[in-house]
Amino acid sequence: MMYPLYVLAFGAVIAGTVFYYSFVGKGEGAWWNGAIFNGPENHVLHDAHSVPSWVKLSPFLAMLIGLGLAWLMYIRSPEIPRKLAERHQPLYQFLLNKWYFDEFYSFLFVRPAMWVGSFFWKKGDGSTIDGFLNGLAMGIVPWMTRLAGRFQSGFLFHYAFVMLVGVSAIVTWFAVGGGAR
Amino acid sequence: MGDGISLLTLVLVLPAIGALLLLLLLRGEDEAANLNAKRFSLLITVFTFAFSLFLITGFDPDNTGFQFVEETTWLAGLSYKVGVDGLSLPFVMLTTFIFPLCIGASWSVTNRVKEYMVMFLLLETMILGVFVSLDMILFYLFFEAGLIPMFLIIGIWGGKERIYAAFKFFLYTLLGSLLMLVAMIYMYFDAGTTDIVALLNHQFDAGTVTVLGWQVVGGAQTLMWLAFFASFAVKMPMWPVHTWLPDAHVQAPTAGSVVLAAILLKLGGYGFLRFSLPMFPVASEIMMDFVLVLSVIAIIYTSLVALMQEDIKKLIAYSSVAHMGFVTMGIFAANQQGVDGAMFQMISHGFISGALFLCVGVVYDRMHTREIDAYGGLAVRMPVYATVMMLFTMANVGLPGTSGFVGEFLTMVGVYQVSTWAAFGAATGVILSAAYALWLYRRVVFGELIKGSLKTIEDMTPREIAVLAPLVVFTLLLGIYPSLATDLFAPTVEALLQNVEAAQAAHADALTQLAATSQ
Repeated sequence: MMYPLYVLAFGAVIAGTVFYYSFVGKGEGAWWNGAIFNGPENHVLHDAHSVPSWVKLSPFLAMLIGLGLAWLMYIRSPEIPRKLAERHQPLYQFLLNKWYFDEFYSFLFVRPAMWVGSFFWKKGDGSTIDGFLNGLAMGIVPWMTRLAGRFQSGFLFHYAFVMLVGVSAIVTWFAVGGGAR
Repeated sequence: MGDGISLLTLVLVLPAIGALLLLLLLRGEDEAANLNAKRFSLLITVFTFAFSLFLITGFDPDNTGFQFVEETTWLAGLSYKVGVDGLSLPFVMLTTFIFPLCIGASWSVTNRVKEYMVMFLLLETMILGVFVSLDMILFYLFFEAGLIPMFLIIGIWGGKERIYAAFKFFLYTLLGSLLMLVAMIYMYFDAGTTDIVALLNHQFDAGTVTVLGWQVVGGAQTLMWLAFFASFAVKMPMWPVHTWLPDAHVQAPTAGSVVLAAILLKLGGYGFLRFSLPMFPVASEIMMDFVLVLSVIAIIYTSLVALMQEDIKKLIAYSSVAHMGFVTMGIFAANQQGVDGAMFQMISHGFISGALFLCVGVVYDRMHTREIDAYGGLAVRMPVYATVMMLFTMANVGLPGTSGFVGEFLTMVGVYQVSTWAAFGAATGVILSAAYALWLYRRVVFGELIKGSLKTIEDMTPREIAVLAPLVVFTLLLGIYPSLATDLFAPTVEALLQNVEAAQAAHADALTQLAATSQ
């Protein structure tokens, strides 16, 4: 697993030297070729060059401090981190749990999303949509079936009477409407 | 192909002829007969695909009219008229491409193999018929007849709740279609023809009418638009008429789910593009907000529901509904990016959802369960499967580099131009899709392999790899080089939108003139 790290370390050391000219140096205009656009009033990139020296040096300083601390805590006297953690338990737990960001996120987004999803599924799809349509189908269709069933009395003269009503209705229709044109 | 049977008709009827031959000639229920049925069906579908390749080589994308047109009178004044244009050819290709894979994925079927294959071959002809029909009645016949094989596939070869699911599928989709039939009859009396080409050039009346005391803006166009919407929205499916889909998917056999997700869902989108948008342009404009609202609800609502599913197939089914929300949104945004995106999304979803259902089929065949909780740690014993599944999970999320990204991105660009809010809602859906898809992947493929029953699970067989490989290729190919698909349909979409805009502008002019004269 060390080899990828060697490659990355090599890149980290020399990338600045290699790309300085084309990314931010003299060759910058030709390299970006308008891909980074600045309004005519916007001089922020140019102003960045003229900040005080301590601003430019502070990342390097931070690196040196980090290097020193790492050397102190993990090479010179490795017992320091444990002591620090024991002495400042709340702070240590806070940092160990990444500022409790996952818990916060879970509380704010994940659990509400799951609750709403569950609600839509069981109550929305299940009770409301399927419930309504199935209720409609199971309520109205049997009702109409019973209604239609009531017409089937089984008496021949009932059927004959209905047919007669139908025939007279058709005759009336044509008589009033003038028949076939 | 001047004389004899034309190429398009050949592609259309070949599967049906195969089904007939299989039905008449194959005897026996033994293993040899079953294997023959499978091999024969595979051969037929592969040949259908091969012939359809000639369609694509002979097709001129810059010609925005219909090509390979063939017309003969049929029965009782109805005519058999078929042809393809930039909107239908991609779906024809998708269909002929997916079916051989479905047959290949059905090798594990042991129950009534001959009838199963007959149903699939018939289904292919029915679906192709919908896409190539240039006669409204013919379209309707294929559109409805396609329900029957699918109904039987779910009802006979499905899971435990197959009867409930089959009836739900059938009744939902049929009920919507009946209103469409009424509208078609009206259109026939209004335009005097059922020819789709002629209907596309016919201006349906859009003057406001009063029905039962209700003012209907857009008049006859709006009423017909609604009737067609009733049919296509159920097919899509759009919220809130989507609940048949998860049930149908869960119960259908693997290949049935693949056809359902990859192709049958696209009939609704195709219908919107063939009928609703070009024939009722004024109504489409009036109803745009309505569709956008339903689409955004579908995207967010079903994504949230997908998050909570315990059944892998159901989760993918809900995610399909969400993805179809992008399609409807893009179509009725009615601009080039929106409609191009909708077309692309439909084709890409055909590959991705088909592949996801095939992936579920792979583990279902081994474990006979679709419960997410029954899995975990598959990556340990199934590295190939884990890789393939990851690709399609990412494609489902819409990762750039896969075809899923292009469709979602284009539709959102299109919708952004008509409604920022709708685009915002859709973008939320993309985040949710990442949540449910990646969570599913984590629970099924990653983690410790602790379940005893999974300890001996085997990786994908060469047959399963052969079925999924073409889908892997196309998902990546369309993701990297989308022009492969957009070149086919973009000119036709452009012409369609020009007509739509012209009709909408003419209507707006007429309204202003009317207002001026009445003052």
